[in-house]
This record gives sequence, C-alpha cells and structure tokens, in this order.
Amino acid sequence: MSRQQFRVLYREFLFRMVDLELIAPEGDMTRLLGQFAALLIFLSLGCSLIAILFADGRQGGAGALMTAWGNEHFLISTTMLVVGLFAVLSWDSTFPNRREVMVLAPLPLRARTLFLAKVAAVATALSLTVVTLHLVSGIAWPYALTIRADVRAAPAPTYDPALPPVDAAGVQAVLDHDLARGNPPALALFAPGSTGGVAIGVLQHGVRRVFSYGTAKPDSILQIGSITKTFTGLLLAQMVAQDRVGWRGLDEPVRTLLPDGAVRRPIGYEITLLDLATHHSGLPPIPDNVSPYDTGAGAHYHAADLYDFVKRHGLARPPDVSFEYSNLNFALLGQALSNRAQASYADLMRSQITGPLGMPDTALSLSPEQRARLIQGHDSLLRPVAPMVLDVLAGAGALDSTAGDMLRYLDAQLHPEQVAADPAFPGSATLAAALAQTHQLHADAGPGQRIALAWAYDTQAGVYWHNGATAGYTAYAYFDPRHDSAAVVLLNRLDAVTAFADRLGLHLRQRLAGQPAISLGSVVIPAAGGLPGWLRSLAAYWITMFAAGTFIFCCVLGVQGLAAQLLPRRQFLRLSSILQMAAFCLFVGVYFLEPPVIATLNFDPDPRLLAWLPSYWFLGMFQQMSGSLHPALAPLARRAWEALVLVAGITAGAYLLSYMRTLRKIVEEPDIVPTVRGLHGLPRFGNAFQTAIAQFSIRTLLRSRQHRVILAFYAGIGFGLTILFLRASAAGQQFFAVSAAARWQRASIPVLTSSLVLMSFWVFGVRMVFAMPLEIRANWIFRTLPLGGPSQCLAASRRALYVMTVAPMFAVSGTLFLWMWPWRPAAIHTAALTLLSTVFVELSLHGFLKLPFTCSYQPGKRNMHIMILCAVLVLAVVNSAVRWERDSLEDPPRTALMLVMLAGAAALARWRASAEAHSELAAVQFDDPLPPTVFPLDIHKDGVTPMPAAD
Amino acid sequence: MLELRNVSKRFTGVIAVDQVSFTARAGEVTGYLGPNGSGKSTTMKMITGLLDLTSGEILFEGARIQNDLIAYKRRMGYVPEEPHLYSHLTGLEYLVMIGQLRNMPGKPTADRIDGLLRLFSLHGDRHSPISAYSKGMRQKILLSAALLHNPDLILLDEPFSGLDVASALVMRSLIQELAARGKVVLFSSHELETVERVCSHVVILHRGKLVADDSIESLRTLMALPKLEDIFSQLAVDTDPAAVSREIADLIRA
Repeated sequence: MSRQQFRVLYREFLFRMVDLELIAPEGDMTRLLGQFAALLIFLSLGCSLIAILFADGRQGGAGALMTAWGNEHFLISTTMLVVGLFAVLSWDSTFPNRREVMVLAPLPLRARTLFLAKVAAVATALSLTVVTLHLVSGIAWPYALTIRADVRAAPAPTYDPALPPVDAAGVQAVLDHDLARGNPPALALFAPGSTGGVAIGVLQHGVRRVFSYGTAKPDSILQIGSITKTFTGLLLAQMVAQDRVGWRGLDEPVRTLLPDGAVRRPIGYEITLLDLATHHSGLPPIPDNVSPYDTGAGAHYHAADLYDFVKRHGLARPPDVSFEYSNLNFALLGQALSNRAQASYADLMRSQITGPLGMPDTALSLSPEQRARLIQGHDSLLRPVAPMVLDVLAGAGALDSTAGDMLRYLDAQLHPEQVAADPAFPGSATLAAALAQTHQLHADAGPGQRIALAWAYDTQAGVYWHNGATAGYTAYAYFDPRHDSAAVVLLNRLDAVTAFADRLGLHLRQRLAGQPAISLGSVVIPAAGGLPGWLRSLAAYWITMFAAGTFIFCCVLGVQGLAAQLLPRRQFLRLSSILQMAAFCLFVGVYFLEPPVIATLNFDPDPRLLAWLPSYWFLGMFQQMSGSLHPALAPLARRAWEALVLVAGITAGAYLLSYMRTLRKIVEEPDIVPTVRGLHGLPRFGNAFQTAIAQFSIRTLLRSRQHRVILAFYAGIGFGLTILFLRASAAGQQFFAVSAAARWQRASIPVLTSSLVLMSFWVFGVRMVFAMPLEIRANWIFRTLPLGGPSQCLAASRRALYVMTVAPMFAVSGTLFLWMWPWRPAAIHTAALTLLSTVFVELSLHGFLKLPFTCSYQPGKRNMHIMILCAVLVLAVVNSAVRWERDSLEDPPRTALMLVMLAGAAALARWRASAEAHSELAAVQFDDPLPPTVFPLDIHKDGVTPMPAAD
Repeated sequence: MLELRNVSKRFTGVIAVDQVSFTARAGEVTGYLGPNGSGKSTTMKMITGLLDLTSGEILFEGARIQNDLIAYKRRMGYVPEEPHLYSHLTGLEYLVMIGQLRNMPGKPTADRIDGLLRLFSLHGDRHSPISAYSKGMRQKILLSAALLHNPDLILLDEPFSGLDVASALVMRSLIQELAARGKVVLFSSHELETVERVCSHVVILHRGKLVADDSIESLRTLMALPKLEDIFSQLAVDTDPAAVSREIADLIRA
C-alpha cells in the first residue's frame, strides 16, 4: 500500500464525511465543518457552566448523588445523540458511492487501501466530533465531580431475605435488625444527634404496637399530608349515610352543595361527589390560580379563590373521563361538604370522625400541648421547615396525627362493625356503615390499582393504601383486610428521592406477610477526591464518551453494513433512505423520551427499562471506571462492555464485507433513486405554472435525501422541544388516557406551545430547504422558459410553500386537536395556528424571489446555528403568547380579536412580500448574490489613502 | 428570421464573443461552427437569453429579443450542449412540467408528450427516473422538451451527442423537416460531416470572431476546397494536428 495513496484518499474521504456540500458555505466544506465545530464547542461551554453550578451546589446525600448521576447521564446521552446525528449525516459517505468508484476504480489502487483510508477517515471524524463536543466540558465535569466527590449512601435496590411472618408484638425487633442492615444502615438516619424521626404503628389481629426512632416519640405529632383525603372520603360517606348531601347520594352533583350562583349548571354530565372522591372528575391536579411552587400558598388560598376557579372552569364532567390524581378534587369535596353542613371542615372532622373514633391528636389546629409534641419537619436538604397550613384546600392534606391515632383509624377500617355509636357524637351512629362504604371499589386507578373513596387498592396484594407528603413530612398508611393487619409510618422529612416512608411501609407489610422485604439500608458509593480522583475521573470521562460515541456510530454502520450485505443492492438503496430517517427519529426520540435516573431507580429494584437503554449502560461504565459504581448499575456497566465489543465486532465484519461487495455492485448495477410510483397523480395547485412548481417541489423534497435530512433536522428540533414541553408539564403523565375536556383543561398550555413550536420549525425548515438547490446546473430550463416576472414566481413559490406547510399543518392539527379537545377550542386553535403559519410563510418569503430548489445557495450568510439559538431564546416569548391565546380561547370577544389580529398580520406580511416582487428592480434569482468583497482600506501612516491610478 | 448585429460578450478581462453578426433564416438550417473556446456556446446562451450581451443586439423577426424576452422565449426551443436535467423526475414528469411551465393546455399537451415519447422510443421508460436514463435517452428528453410547444426558432447545441445511429438518422431528418416547414434552425455541432449534410448555410467562429458566414456551396467555391472539414481547418484550426499528435506521443514516451 502506498502511503501517498493512503494519505490522499484519507484526506479526500475525511473532508467528505458529512455529505452536505449542498449547505457548505460557498461550497467550502472546511468552513462548514468549522461551523459545526463552533456549535459543538458552544454546547461544550454550556455544559461546563452546568458543571460550575454543580460544583458550587449545596445539595448533599442521596440528592447530590442523583443530581450527579443525572448530569453524567445527560452528558453521555448528548454525546450519543450528537454522534448519532453525525452518523446519520454521514450516511452516504461511509460506503463508496458511484462517483468515487467510477473515479477511483480505473486507478491502480488496492481495495484494501481504499477501505483503510475510509476507516481511518471515519475514526478521525468520530474522534473529532467527540473531542470538540467535550473540549471544555471534558475538563470541567471531571473537576466538578471530583470537587463534589463524597462518600455517599444511596438506596440499595435489593430485598432482605424472607422471614417467617412476624406479629405486631415482634415487629419492632425485626425492624431494629432490618434498619441496621446495609452500609450505612437506615438506622443512621435516626442516630443520636441527627434530626430524623419516624413514628411507626403496627396493628395485627387487634394487637397494636407503636414505636419510634430518632427525634420522634411514640406520641409525636406529624403531618400526614394526603392521607387526609381518606378522612375526607369518610366524611363524604358519613354525610351520605346521614342523607345530608341530597337524594342522589354519592351521585349528587357537587354544584348543588356549593353556594347559589357559584357555578352555572353545565350542559351534559356534571361532576358528582363520587367523581371527586375517586379522582374521576377531569379536574386538573391543582387550581390554575394557585402556584404549585409556593409551599406557603395554601394558607392564603381561600374559598373565594376556589369559587373563582370553579366559576371559570365549570363543573362539566367529560364523558370519557379516567383516573387522574388531583388535590383539587378533595379540596373541593371538603369545601362542598362543609358548606352543606354549615360547619368548618375542622369541626366536621371532629364531630363525624376523629371524635367518635377517639383520635384526639388528629386535627387541623393543635392545642399548645399538642404543638409541643409536633416534631420539627425537614425538607429534602434536611433544612427545618414550618408545618404546611391549608385553608380551603384542607380536605386534600391538612391533618396532623400520631401513629397511635392512625392505628385507631386503621383498626376502624379493618373492623367497621366494631365501631360503636357514641352518644356524645350523634354522627357516630352511621360511622360503621360509612367506613364500609369507603371500601367499595368504584373504578380503575392505573395498572394493578383500583380506587374506593380515596383509598387506593392494590388488586394483587389485596391492600388498601395511601401515602402523603407536605413540605417537611412524609407518611404512608395501609390496611390489609385479608391478613387483618395495618401499619402507619410518619416521617419528619420530605424525601422524594428515596421515598423512605413508602419503602418502610412496604417493608412492614412484607414482614407481616412473611415475604422478602424491600431493603431499607443503603449502599455506600465510594468516591475519590484530590488529584488522583480528578485524573481517574478525567480518564473515565473521556473513555466513556469515546466508548458511547463508538457504540452508537458502530450501530449505525453495522445496520448499514448488514443491510448492504443481506439485501440486493437495489433494495438496499431503497431501504437505506428509510433506515436513515428511522435512525434520525430514533436518536431524537430516545434522547428526549428516555426516563431520568431518579424516576427509574427510586422504586424499581429491577431496572429492566434501564437494561434496554444504552445511555444507562455507559453511565454504569463511567461509574465503574471512576470508582463510584452503584450496585444497581453494575450489570449495566457489564452490559456496556459486552455491547461495545459485540457491536464493534459485528460492525467490523459487516462493514468490511459489505464495503467490498458495494464496490463490486456499484460497477455492476446503476444506482437506483427512490421509487417514484404513486406520485403520478398529484392534484393541481392553482394555474398551470403554480401547479408545475408545487409538484416539482413536492417531488424534489420527497426524492432528495439531502433535502429530507436537512428538513428532518429542523423538524427533529421542533419535535424534541415538543416532547420536552409535554414532558415538563405537570399533566404529562397519562395524557392520552383522559377525556378531551380534561386534556384541554390540564395540558392546553404545553400542547398549544408545542404545536406552535413544531409549526414554526416546520415552516422555516421547509423554507430553508426551498432555498437549497438540487442539480443546480439543470436550472437552465427555468431560465430559458417564458416564466413571467418575479411576482408570478413569488406566487408559485408561495403556493408551493403553502401546499407543503400550511395545508398539512391545517389537516394534521385540525384532526389531532379535534380528537384531543372539545371541538370549539380545537377549531379556534387550528384556525389561529393556520393564520399564524400563514404569517410565518409570508415573512419567510420576504426577499425570496426564487423558484424552490433552483437557486444557488450560500448558507454561510445565514448563520444557521445563531438562528437556532435565537429561536430558543424566543421560546420564552412564545410561552407568554400561548398563555394569552389560552385565555382568549375561553372568551369569544377576545377570540374574535385574536383571529382578526392574526388575519391582519397575515395580510400585512403578504402585502410586504408581494410589494417587493412588484418593484421595478425585482428579478427572479437563480444565483445567490455573493457577499460583498472586502477591500483593504490601505490607509497609510499619515492617514492619506492613495487614489487609484487612472486606467 | 434570427439576426445578430455586432454582438459582443466580455467577461472579466476576456472577450468571448467579438462583434459577431449573422442571420439565420426561416426555412433553412444554419450551421454554427467553431473550435472549443471559440465563443460558440456563449453566443448560443446569449441567443437563448441566458446571458446578457455586452454590446450589439439580437433580433428575432425584426424585434429585439430583450424588448419582450417572455414572448421570444414562447417561440424558442433550446437543446443545450450538456444534458443537465432534473434526474429525480421521470421523463414523463419532466415533460409534463415543461408543458405546465409553458402554460400549454392539459389534454392536447399530454397527447403530444405521449406521441413524442413513443416516437423517440421512450414510452416504456416514461415512469423511470431520468437518473436511470442513458445519455442518448436524456438527449431525446431534451429534444422532446425543446419541440413540445412547436417553436418557430430551434436552437440545437450538439443535439447528436450520445444518440445511437438510428436516432441520429431520425434526428438529422427531423432537423431538415422542421426547416422545410418554415422554422428557423440554428444548429451547432462539431460533427462536420453531419453539418455538411444538414445545413445549407454555415457560420464559423474563431477566437470569438466571425470568420465565415455563407452557404456551404459558396464556401467550397470561394476557398476551392472540396469538403467542409478542409474549409473549417483552414479557417479555424491554428495547429497542425499531425504535429501535435507526434508531440503528445513523444511526451508520454519520455
């Protein structure tokens, strides 16, 4: 092999890795690659800023660990996305194409030289991509991780061995032992000097045991949060049993229990008391006039605010409503019941439930003596926080209680028939029947769960349960009628990361049932600091990023190689285009949709989902190499190594074989462009000229891979942002499982925003590819035909752009929104979106005196990456605009105003674009004007510019 | 009648066409000859309106073409030197698009396209993408596109390029037939034998300047040479082909 041949081929292949000469500024691939590099370095700088914030953070313990994991995973998955997209862009360059073969084949070159030069170019391009992306963050992040390196404990996702069923009397001894397991043990949370405290109550066959750890005492009072909802549900059952809610009982519309005129009677189904108590009302999780982020907001949210929300929202129940957990349901239920009873929620609770059941320490407001027993709550950072106070929202989570009181409550749940009437409390006569009523199952509540009046029911275990959380406390309670057992756990800490109260409650139930019990202990995540730690972290970081990039690149190459090897060349060429787009969608989709670490490691001791997501494998690899491996990730780290070796091996073999085969086949068979069947009968799009241009545009976009990839790039960003918006919304989960009205109420803002963003990226994406030529030298035909003036060309381009943007946008959004939402907002938003896309089309046509795909292109002037960044900044404004639209959609005069404004803007933009085409200087462009040449001023020392000599 | 009056084209520092004047009449085929770089294609591009003139004027039927370029283009058909086509379209789609761009009526145009495709033996491949066409098939598509609207002025720049023998014979006959039907045909080619058979009148360009503008018969008589090839060599070829051949052979042997 000649070194010179290799060197020449290597350089040629390397500069043609990204086969996008089309968008190369002035055909200069070096400049295009420079722009890509600048974009990647910018990303790297952004990631470094996050590293600085992380290094300066104050979060500790498991929370800090999870944050570190989240960041490590973000960096790995971003690397995989960037390399994956690079692999998609270089799709056509990894195999020899016809041009290369026809040029190189007659030369005295060995196939081996060609192959090795190509492999070397691919490896160099891959390395450069990874190095550029991590140029700054590759130093900053290992440093930040080393700075924050601390030996930390994290939940151990394992099970303690099964023991014979223990009874209530013996459970504390078993728990003492189980809490001492692990390294560090869970007992460390409650060690002397720590702030942690937990009160535990266990009940089995009538035997009650209450004990505590840490700062809690058996009679300590703690907030029980959402377990209050079960009390509100029981209150409802009580008032139904006492015929105080109306003749329809649980099916009484909640409207009838509210003050007269508070809300109009809706047309169709009304939300009933049962709908509220079973989370089947379609109401959002919280009212939209209370901030979900202000922990103190509940104290200032009064009945008038609630009625204001109800009046605006209405109380219509969507016909196909399904389960959706909502604090608003029980807040409204509690308020409605107290309104009907003409008594405060606290008084009702005392007279109807806590009084008859003998629960003196369960209340909304505490006496001074009780307040002394209320132990300090702490947030997730272990900072003391004030107890949460709720006014009108009390029915959703305002009660304080003790483990002893809660055991009385759970005992009554297990044995309602034993609840005796108390003459001091007239309401007690119906309590037994009401308790039984609260256990009746009414509806499904997610996989394996049904719902009674507030109580969730685990259909497999046969257990009723509920948990709760406030700013400084967490709680868990269950009762098991089959085994006649119950337990309650009250913890003085908000603990969203490890959910210790829930795990402890589950552990108790499993111990009482003699099952393997979920581990309470932690595992120690080792960490090394200082220079050795940084060097190790640095090496682990770079090796992992290269490994992740190599893996994803090899996957793409391997799939291509296998397809090229297994399929006839004609079919491979046809399938190749589909595979390329599929890979693009897969990378973008997985990047935005894969679950965060915290959500998957929290409760799932068998992270099966993670086992299928390669980015988590490499997270395991990183931790393994940096010496901070969590046991749960050990199998993933092993899988990363195995997958890397396997994929690299398969890819090497498949690529080598298919490369040689491709070389042969290219010579033997002509390249086949994608099939063209099915496009003969395109409809007319206006006059003959407009039809010709629109049909030409559609066919070009559908058949030109380069244009499709560029459009997919824009659409992919829009799609990714859409998923991000939908995922970030509080109502993202189970979005499609609820009714149209509920979907409108709960997710309208993110969906409205998403549709707007997607539309914008699609319109500007299509407009961008319109400006990029296909077979520029073939445009002579347009130049020699009698096409008319710029105004006719503008009209034809406009028609083509409308056909490919506004028309599909109208059809897709109209269908989607009518399916998702009630017809009125769906129709209005579709109209608004159509008008807005018209505005964007007209704005994008400003200065576009060209025919699509026929004018030479110099994208260097466009600064695409700057435009993308600007678009991201504009998103903040979009959000406000969408909120304004959301409000307008519920107000007919504002709706009309909005539509008129949009129509006016569209007309103005159209007039502006047309005026330019009608000017005398306008001419149809087939050559993009060159940027102005820069002339040196040639100023001399004395400031005199010499005059040019006359010709 | 197509008339060029003192047409010049100057690119940056280079005169490609210098004061060229000639006339191509209806009913005859005008051959337009010249060696590579003589300004032949540049002139063709100026006649089609693709390039602006630096000076001079081009008239078609007495009117300056720049006065109403659109009207002029409606009557012109052009076959370029290089078969650049939108290869992602099928042959049929390309011709339909041309018909639409020329604002021709739908059904008659479709019938005409169908007929042209049959006569050029392209009907079986009409749904194949042009990228799969041979060079000759592309040339036939170019010819079909140029003739689709029955133009009065036909500009042919190397129309025989890539055509097989049978097609070339048809093409040769077609050019004469079109001229016989009163059309102005300007025919540029390097195949002097074909030009000699087809054209009644030739214009020869050398280094951007007109060196001959007459009937072939007159040129033969005037220059006392029996063949057009000899006339062309004398007027437009500076070098001795035999001497150059010897030099090349000597160079590669060294």
